[in-house]
Amino acid sequence: MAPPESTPPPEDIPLPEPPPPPDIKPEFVEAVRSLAEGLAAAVAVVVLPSIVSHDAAGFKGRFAIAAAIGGAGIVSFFAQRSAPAVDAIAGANAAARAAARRRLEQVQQQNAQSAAEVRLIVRAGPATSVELGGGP
Amino acid sequence: MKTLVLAAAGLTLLGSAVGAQQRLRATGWGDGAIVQLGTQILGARESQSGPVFGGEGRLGLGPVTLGVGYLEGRLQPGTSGTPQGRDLVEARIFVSARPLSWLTLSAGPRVRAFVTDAATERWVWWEGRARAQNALASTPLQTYIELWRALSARVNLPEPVDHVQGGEAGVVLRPPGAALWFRLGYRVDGARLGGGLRSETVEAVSLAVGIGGP
Repeated sequence: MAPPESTPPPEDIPLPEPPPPPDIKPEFVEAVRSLAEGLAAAVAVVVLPSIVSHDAAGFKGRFAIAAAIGGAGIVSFFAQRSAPAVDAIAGANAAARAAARRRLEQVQQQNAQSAAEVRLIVRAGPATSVELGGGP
Repeated sequence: MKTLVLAAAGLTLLGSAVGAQQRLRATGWGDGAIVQLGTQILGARESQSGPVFGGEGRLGLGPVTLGVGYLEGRLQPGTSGTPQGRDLVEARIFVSARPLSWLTLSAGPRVRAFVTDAATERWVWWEGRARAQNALASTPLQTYIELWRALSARVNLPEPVDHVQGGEAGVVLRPPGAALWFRLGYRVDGARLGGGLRSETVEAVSLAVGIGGP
Protein backbone atom coordinates (compact mmCIF):
# COMPACT_ATOMS: atom_id res chain seq x y z
CA MET A 1 0.00 0.00 0.00
CA ALA A 2 1.29 3.46 -0.96
CA PRO A 3 1.75 5.93 1.82
CA PRO A 4 -0.81 8.69 2.25
CA GLU A 5 0.09 11.86 0.38
CA SER A 6 -0.99 15.46 0.80
CA THR A 7 -2.61 17.18 -2.20
CA PRO A 8 -3.15 20.77 -3.22
CA PRO A 9 -6.62 22.16 -2.50
CA PRO A 10 -9.26 21.75 -5.19
CA GLU A 11 -9.73 24.48 -7.77
CA ASP A 12 -11.56 27.61 -6.62
CA ILE A 13 -15.20 28.15 -7.58
CA PRO A 14 -15.21 30.91 -10.22
CA LEU A 15 -16.42 34.24 -8.88
CA PRO A 16 -19.89 35.33 -10.08
CA GLU A 17 -20.15 38.02 -12.71
CA PRO A 18 -21.19 41.48 -11.51
CA PRO A 19 -24.79 42.43 -12.39
CA PRO A 20 -24.94 43.70 -15.98
CA PRO A 21 -26.06 47.33 -16.23
CA PRO A 22 -28.76 46.63 -18.91
CA ASP A 23 -30.71 44.59 -16.32
CA ILE A 24 -32.39 47.80 -15.28
CA LYS A 25 -32.76 50.45 -17.94
CA PRO A 26 -31.71 53.88 -16.73
CA GLU A 27 -34.78 56.03 -16.42
CA PHE A 28 -33.15 58.97 -18.16
CA VAL A 29 -32.52 57.00 -21.36
CA GLU A 30 -36.15 55.86 -21.43
CA ALA A 31 -37.39 59.41 -20.91
CA VAL A 32 -35.19 60.81 -23.67
CA ARG A 33 -36.27 58.03 -26.03
CA SER A 34 -39.94 58.90 -25.50
CA LEU A 35 -39.24 62.58 -26.01
CA ALA A 36 -37.32 61.86 -29.22
CA GLU A 37 -40.12 59.66 -30.59
CA GLY A 38 -42.74 62.30 -29.89
CA LEU A 39 -40.71 65.10 -31.42
CA ALA A 40 -39.80 62.97 -34.46
CA ALA A 41 -43.46 62.28 -35.19
CA ALA A 42 -44.28 65.98 -34.70
CA VAL A 43 -41.55 67.04 -37.11
CA ALA A 44 -42.76 64.40 -39.57
CA VAL A 45 -46.22 66.00 -39.60
CA VAL A 46 -44.71 69.42 -40.36
CA VAL A 47 -42.36 68.30 -43.14
CA LEU A 48 -44.42 65.51 -44.74
CA PRO A 49 -46.06 67.74 -47.38
CA SER A 50 -42.72 68.96 -48.71
CA ILE A 51 -41.30 65.41 -48.72
CA VAL A 52 -44.28 63.75 -50.36
CA SER A 53 -45.37 66.44 -52.79
CA HIS A 54 -43.39 69.52 -53.73
CA ASP A 55 -46.56 71.23 -54.88
CA ALA A 56 -48.47 70.68 -51.65
CA ALA A 57 -49.92 73.83 -50.14
CA GLY A 58 -49.63 72.33 -46.67
CA PHE A 59 -52.79 71.93 -44.65
CA LYS A 60 -52.51 74.45 -41.80
CA GLY A 61 -54.49 72.14 -39.53
CA ARG A 62 -51.51 69.80 -39.40
CA PHE A 63 -49.69 72.16 -37.02
CA ALA A 64 -52.30 71.40 -34.35
CA ILE A 65 -51.61 67.69 -34.84
CA ALA A 66 -47.86 68.31 -34.63
CA ALA A 67 -48.35 70.23 -31.39
CA ALA A 68 -50.44 67.40 -29.93
CA ILE A 69 -47.84 64.78 -30.82
CA GLY A 70 -44.94 66.88 -29.57
CA GLY A 71 -46.88 67.58 -26.38
CA ALA A 72 -47.40 63.85 -25.90
CA GLY A 73 -43.65 63.28 -26.13
CA ILE A 74 -42.98 66.01 -23.56
CA VAL A 75 -45.64 64.60 -21.21
CA SER A 76 -44.03 61.17 -21.49
CA PHE A 77 -40.59 62.68 -20.82
CA PHE A 78 -41.67 64.32 -17.57
CA ALA A 79 -43.80 61.33 -16.51
CA GLN A 80 -40.72 59.12 -16.84
CA ARG A 81 -38.61 61.47 -14.80
CA SER A 82 -41.15 61.84 -12.01
CA ALA A 83 -39.99 60.97 -8.50
CA PRO A 84 -41.84 57.66 -7.91
CA ALA A 85 -40.43 56.13 -11.06
CA VAL A 86 -36.90 57.25 -10.22
CA ASP A 87 -37.19 55.91 -6.67
CA ALA A 88 -38.51 52.58 -7.88
CA ILE A 89 -35.68 52.13 -10.36
CA ALA A 90 -33.08 53.29 -7.83
CA GLY A 91 -34.46 50.80 -5.30
CA ALA A 92 -34.38 47.98 -7.83
CA ASN A 93 -30.79 48.90 -8.72
CA ALA A 94 -29.75 48.81 -5.05
CA ALA A 95 -31.43 45.43 -4.53
CA ALA A 96 -29.69 43.95 -7.57
CA ARG A 97 -26.31 45.24 -6.39
CA ALA A 98 -26.86 43.86 -2.84
CA ALA A 99 -27.80 40.42 -4.20
CA ALA A 100 -24.69 40.35 -6.37
CA ARG A 101 -22.50 41.35 -3.41
CA ARG A 102 -24.01 38.55 -1.27
CA ARG A 103 -23.32 35.99 -4.01
CA LEU A 104 -19.72 37.19 -4.31
CA GLU A 105 -19.10 37.01 -0.55
CA GLN A 106 -20.60 33.53 -0.36
CA VAL A 107 -18.33 32.19 -3.10
CA GLN A 108 -15.26 33.86 -1.60
CA GLN A 109 -16.06 32.29 1.76
CA GLN A 110 -16.46 28.83 0.19
CA ASN A 111 -13.14 29.17 -1.63
CA ALA A 112 -11.31 30.26 1.53
CA GLN A 113 -12.82 27.34 3.43
CA SER A 114 -11.77 24.86 0.75
CA ALA A 115 -8.21 26.19 0.73
CA ALA A 116 -7.92 25.86 4.52
CA GLU A 117 -9.00 22.24 4.69
CA VAL A 118 -6.29 19.51 4.94
CA ARG A 119 -7.00 16.70 2.55
CA LEU A 120 -5.49 13.22 2.57
CA ILE A 121 -5.83 10.84 -0.30
CA VAL A 122 -5.04 7.17 0.16
CA ARG A 123 -4.18 5.39 -3.04
CA ALA A 124 -3.89 1.58 -3.23
CA GLY A 125 -0.60 0.37 -4.77
CA PRO A 126 -0.18 -2.62 -7.09
CA ALA A 127 -1.20 -5.98 -5.69
CA THR A 128 1.73 -8.05 -4.43
CA SER A 129 1.85 -11.52 -2.97
CA VAL A 130 3.87 -12.20 0.11
CA GLU A 131 4.89 -15.75 0.82
CA LEU A 132 4.93 -16.77 4.36
CA GLY A 133 8.02 -18.84 4.97
CA GLY A 134 7.92 -22.02 7.05
CA GLY A 135 9.10 -21.81 10.61
CA PRO A 136 12.37 -23.33 11.78
CA MET B 1 -46.53 40.20 -62.71
CA LYS B 2 -46.10 42.42 -59.64
CA THR B 3 -49.63 41.50 -58.64
CA LEU B 4 -48.82 37.80 -58.80
CA VAL B 5 -45.61 38.22 -56.82
CA LEU B 6 -47.37 40.22 -54.10
CA ALA B 7 -50.27 37.77 -53.96
CA ALA B 8 -47.88 34.83 -53.68
CA ALA B 9 -45.92 36.54 -50.91
CA GLY B 10 -49.12 37.33 -49.05
CA LEU B 11 -50.44 33.79 -49.32
CA THR B 12 -47.11 32.37 -48.19
CA LEU B 13 -47.12 34.56 -45.08
CA LEU B 14 -50.77 33.73 -44.39
CA GLY B 15 -50.10 30.04 -44.86
CA SER B 16 -47.26 30.04 -42.38
CA ALA B 17 -49.44 31.82 -39.83
CA VAL B 18 -52.28 29.34 -40.29
CA GLY B 19 -49.79 26.53 -39.88
CA ALA B 20 -48.77 27.98 -36.54
CA GLN B 21 -52.45 27.69 -35.40
CA GLN B 22 -52.53 31.07 -33.73
CA ARG B 23 -55.50 33.01 -32.46
CA LEU B 24 -57.51 35.25 -34.78
CA ARG B 25 -57.45 38.99 -33.98
CA ALA B 26 -60.05 41.48 -35.16
CA THR B 27 -59.66 45.25 -35.29
CA GLY B 28 -61.92 47.96 -36.63
CA TRP B 29 -62.30 51.69 -36.58
CA GLY B 30 -64.37 54.57 -37.86
CA ASP B 31 -62.64 57.64 -39.18
CA GLY B 32 -63.73 61.22 -39.76
CA ALA B 33 -61.42 63.61 -41.58
CA ILE B 34 -61.20 67.05 -43.11
CA VAL B 35 -59.69 66.48 -46.53
CA GLN B 36 -58.06 69.06 -48.77
CA LEU B 37 -57.45 68.26 -52.43
CA GLY B 38 -54.98 70.41 -54.35
CA THR B 39 -54.64 70.13 -58.12
CA GLN B 40 -52.03 71.93 -60.16
CA ILE B 41 -52.15 71.90 -63.95
CA LEU B 42 -49.50 73.87 -65.89
CA GLY B 43 -48.96 76.10 -62.89
CA ALA B 44 -52.64 76.85 -62.30
CA ARG B 45 -53.75 75.68 -58.89
CA GLU B 46 -57.17 74.84 -57.53
CA SER B 47 -58.19 73.37 -54.21
CA GLN B 48 -61.24 71.72 -52.74
CA SER B 49 -61.94 70.51 -49.27
CA GLY B 50 -64.62 68.82 -47.21
CA PRO B 51 -65.43 66.19 -44.61
CA VAL B 52 -64.78 62.56 -45.40
CA PHE B 53 -65.88 59.55 -43.38
CA GLY B 54 -64.75 55.98 -43.55
CA GLY B 55 -63.69 52.89 -41.74
CA GLU B 56 -61.29 50.02 -41.78
CA GLY B 57 -61.43 46.42 -40.61
CA ARG B 58 -58.59 43.98 -40.06
CA LEU B 59 -58.26 40.28 -39.32
CA GLY B 60 -54.94 39.12 -37.99
CA LEU B 61 -53.50 35.66 -37.61
CA GLY B 62 -50.04 35.36 -36.14
CA PRO B 63 -47.78 37.99 -37.64
CA VAL B 64 -49.99 38.49 -40.70
CA THR B 65 -53.03 40.77 -41.03
CA LEU B 66 -55.55 41.14 -43.84
CA GLY B 67 -57.43 44.46 -44.01
CA VAL B 68 -59.99 46.38 -45.99
CA GLY B 69 -60.79 50.09 -45.84
CA TYR B 70 -63.31 52.46 -47.35
CA LEU B 71 -63.97 56.20 -47.19
CA GLU B 72 -66.28 58.64 -48.90
CA GLY B 73 -67.02 62.35 -48.79
CA ARG B 74 -67.89 65.48 -50.67
CA LEU B 75 -65.27 68.09 -51.51
CA GLN B 76 -66.32 71.67 -52.20
CA PRO B 77 -64.26 74.28 -54.02
CA GLY B 78 -62.32 76.80 -51.99
CA THR B 79 -61.75 80.43 -52.86
CA SER B 80 -60.18 79.53 -56.19
CA GLY B 81 -60.70 76.81 -58.77
CA THR B 82 -63.64 75.12 -60.36
CA PRO B 83 -67.11 76.07 -59.17
CA GLN B 84 -68.10 72.42 -59.08
CA GLY B 85 -67.68 70.12 -56.13
CA ARG B 86 -66.73 66.48 -56.40
CA ASP B 87 -67.17 63.27 -54.46
CA LEU B 88 -64.16 61.41 -53.17
CA VAL B 89 -64.51 57.64 -52.90
CA GLU B 90 -61.66 55.39 -51.92
CA ALA B 91 -61.16 51.71 -51.06
CA ARG B 92 -58.21 49.51 -50.34
CA ILE B 93 -57.23 45.93 -49.49
CA PHE B 94 -53.91 45.02 -47.97
CA VAL B 95 -51.84 42.32 -46.34
CA SER B 96 -49.49 43.34 -43.57
CA ALA B 97 -46.85 41.71 -41.41
CA ARG B 98 -44.86 42.79 -38.34
CA PRO B 99 -41.22 41.77 -38.62
CA LEU B 100 -40.46 43.80 -35.48
CA SER B 101 -42.69 44.76 -32.57
CA TRP B 102 -42.69 48.42 -33.69
CA LEU B 103 -42.55 47.94 -37.46
CA THR B 104 -45.40 46.97 -39.78
CA LEU B 105 -44.96 46.38 -43.50
CA SER B 106 -47.98 46.19 -45.77
CA ALA B 107 -48.87 46.00 -49.42
CA GLY B 108 -52.02 45.97 -51.49
CA PRO B 109 -54.16 47.74 -54.07
CA ARG B 110 -56.01 51.00 -53.60
CA VAL B 111 -58.65 52.56 -55.82
CA ARG B 112 -59.66 56.22 -55.65
CA ALA B 113 -62.26 58.11 -57.63
CA PHE B 114 -63.11 61.80 -57.90
CA VAL B 115 -66.65 61.94 -59.19
CA THR B 116 -68.29 64.99 -60.75
CA ASP B 117 -71.48 65.28 -62.76
CA ALA B 118 -69.40 65.43 -65.93
CA ALA B 119 -66.69 62.82 -65.41
CA THR B 120 -64.98 60.45 -63.02
CA GLU B 121 -61.25 60.45 -62.43
CA ARG B 122 -60.21 56.91 -61.49
CA TRP B 123 -56.97 55.92 -59.87
CA VAL B 124 -55.75 52.38 -59.24
CA TRP B 125 -52.40 51.70 -57.65
CA TRP B 126 -50.47 49.05 -55.74
CA GLU B 127 -48.66 50.43 -52.75
CA GLY B 128 -46.00 49.28 -50.33
CA ARG B 129 -46.07 50.75 -46.82
CA ALA B 130 -43.78 50.87 -43.80
CA ARG B 131 -45.13 51.99 -40.45
CA ALA B 132 -43.22 52.57 -37.22
CA GLN B 133 -45.34 52.74 -34.07
CA ASN B 134 -44.16 52.72 -30.49
CA ALA B 135 -45.55 53.44 -27.04
CA LEU B 136 -44.51 56.54 -25.14
CA ALA B 137 -43.31 55.25 -21.77
CA SER B 138 -45.39 56.05 -18.66
CA THR B 139 -48.34 57.24 -20.78
CA PRO B 140 -51.25 55.54 -22.56
CA LEU B 141 -50.03 57.18 -25.79
CA GLN B 142 -48.35 55.83 -28.89
CA THR B 143 -46.87 57.75 -31.80
CA TYR B 144 -46.57 56.49 -35.35
CA ILE B 145 -45.03 57.47 -38.66
CA GLU B 146 -45.95 55.75 -41.92
CA LEU B 147 -44.52 56.17 -45.41
CA TRP B 148 -45.67 54.55 -48.62
CA ARG B 149 -45.03 54.56 -52.32
CA ALA B 150 -47.00 53.21 -55.25
CA LEU B 151 -45.33 50.23 -56.90
CA SER B 152 -47.51 50.71 -59.98
CA ALA B 153 -50.28 53.21 -60.77
CA ARG B 154 -52.90 53.81 -63.43
CA VAL B 155 -55.29 56.72 -63.98
CA ASN B 156 -57.73 57.67 -66.72
CA LEU B 157 -56.04 61.01 -67.40
CA PRO B 158 -54.10 61.91 -70.56
CA GLU B 159 -50.81 62.42 -68.68
CA PRO B 160 -48.77 59.37 -67.70
CA VAL B 161 -48.19 58.80 -63.97
CA ASP B 162 -44.65 59.59 -62.79
CA HIS B 163 -45.11 58.56 -59.19
CA VAL B 164 -47.57 58.42 -56.30
CA GLN B 165 -46.38 58.48 -52.69
CA GLY B 166 -47.57 59.49 -49.28
CA GLY B 167 -47.11 59.50 -45.57
CA GLU B 168 -48.92 59.74 -42.29
CA ALA B 169 -48.05 60.56 -38.69
CA GLY B 170 -50.06 60.84 -35.55
CA VAL B 171 -50.72 59.89 -31.98
CA VAL B 172 -52.86 57.08 -30.53
CA LEU B 173 -54.52 57.24 -27.13
CA ARG B 174 -55.51 53.98 -25.48
CA PRO B 175 -56.98 54.72 -22.05
CA PRO B 176 -56.00 52.07 -19.47
CA GLY B 177 -58.65 49.38 -19.17
CA ALA B 178 -60.72 50.76 -22.04
CA ALA B 179 -61.65 48.71 -25.08
CA LEU B 180 -61.69 51.76 -27.33
CA TRP B 181 -58.77 53.75 -28.60
CA PHE B 182 -58.53 57.13 -30.30
CA ARG B 183 -56.18 58.27 -33.03
CA LEU B 184 -55.38 61.78 -34.18
CA GLY B 185 -53.38 61.93 -37.38
CA TYR B 186 -52.31 63.83 -40.44
CA ARG B 187 -51.86 62.16 -43.81
CA VAL B 188 -50.80 63.43 -47.19
CA ASP B 189 -50.25 61.87 -50.58
CA GLY B 190 -49.04 63.34 -53.81
CA ALA B 191 -49.21 62.24 -57.41
CA ARG B 192 -47.04 63.66 -60.15
CA LEU B 193 -48.04 63.21 -63.79
CA GLY B 194 -46.63 64.07 -67.20
CA GLY B 195 -43.18 65.09 -65.98
CA GLY B 196 -44.63 67.71 -63.66
CA LEU B 197 -47.31 69.11 -65.99
CA ARG B 198 -49.90 68.01 -63.50
CA SER B 199 -49.89 67.14 -59.81
CA GLU B 200 -52.50 66.22 -57.26
CA THR B 201 -52.17 66.35 -53.50
CA VAL B 202 -54.62 64.99 -50.95
CA GLU B 203 -54.15 66.02 -47.31
CA ALA B 204 -56.27 65.07 -44.34
CA VAL B 205 -56.47 65.70 -40.63
CA SER B 206 -58.35 62.78 -39.15
CA LEU B 207 -59.78 61.53 -35.89
CA ALA B 208 -60.46 57.81 -35.57
CA VAL B 209 -62.16 55.74 -32.90
CA GLY B 210 -61.39 52.05 -32.91
CA ILE B 211 -61.61 48.78 -31.08
CA GLY B 212 -58.94 46.10 -30.99
CA GLY B 213 -55.26 46.79 -31.61
CA PRO B 214 -54.55 50.22 -33.14
